[in-house]
Amino acid sequence: MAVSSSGGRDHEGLRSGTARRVVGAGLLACGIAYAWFASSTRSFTAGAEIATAIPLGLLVGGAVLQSRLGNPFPIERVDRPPRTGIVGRWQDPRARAGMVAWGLLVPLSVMWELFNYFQSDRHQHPTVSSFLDTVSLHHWSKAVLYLGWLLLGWFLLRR
Amino acid sequence: MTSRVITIVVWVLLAAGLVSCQTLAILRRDRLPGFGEILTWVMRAPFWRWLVFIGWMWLGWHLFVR
Repeated sequence: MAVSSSGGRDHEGLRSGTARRVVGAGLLACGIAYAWFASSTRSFTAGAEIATAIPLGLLVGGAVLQSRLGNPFPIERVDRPPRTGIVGRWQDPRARAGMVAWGLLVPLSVMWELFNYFQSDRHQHPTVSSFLDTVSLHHWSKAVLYLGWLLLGWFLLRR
Repeated sequence: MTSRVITIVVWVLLAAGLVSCQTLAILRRDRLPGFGEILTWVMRAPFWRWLVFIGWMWLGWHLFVR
């Protein structure tokens, strides 16, 4: 009986895992198709505004639903090693050094971006946008950038 | 050395630092938190969660519409 019960749970877990993968693959395919379509629009046009407003609306709607109903697609943590969390790891001097590095690099990057943003000569002081504008010159590279932005939104929604 | 070169060199150093941190976090997951884990930690509070969402929205609008 115990074996049967365990087997049933395994089967259910497998079905759940398979369903997750199917949904994930479907969403990824939709994301790729949408990124290709949306990246064909030109900046400063109504088409670009509508194409970008749709994911924004979906994320806001998803976040509101999530806050009321819970997360339907939480990040899988089953196969990952146990963690002690940010606060717990702060006790480990080796981990603390890495966390300090994050704590320095992220604010420094933001400050460097802002410093360059407020300089008048964009050629002499390129910002992240300047680099990404270069990437956006081709349809395929803009589509990859757009897909990355969509995936980042999906990633954030699952947090 | 022009301002442009200095700016780009600093950007490259910052990017290398961020990529190194994330790579180390992936390799030593049990010790060093990755950017995703830090974001998760930051997004526990609704205020910061929505602030991160607004940042994502601004980024998309800034890159693809403006």
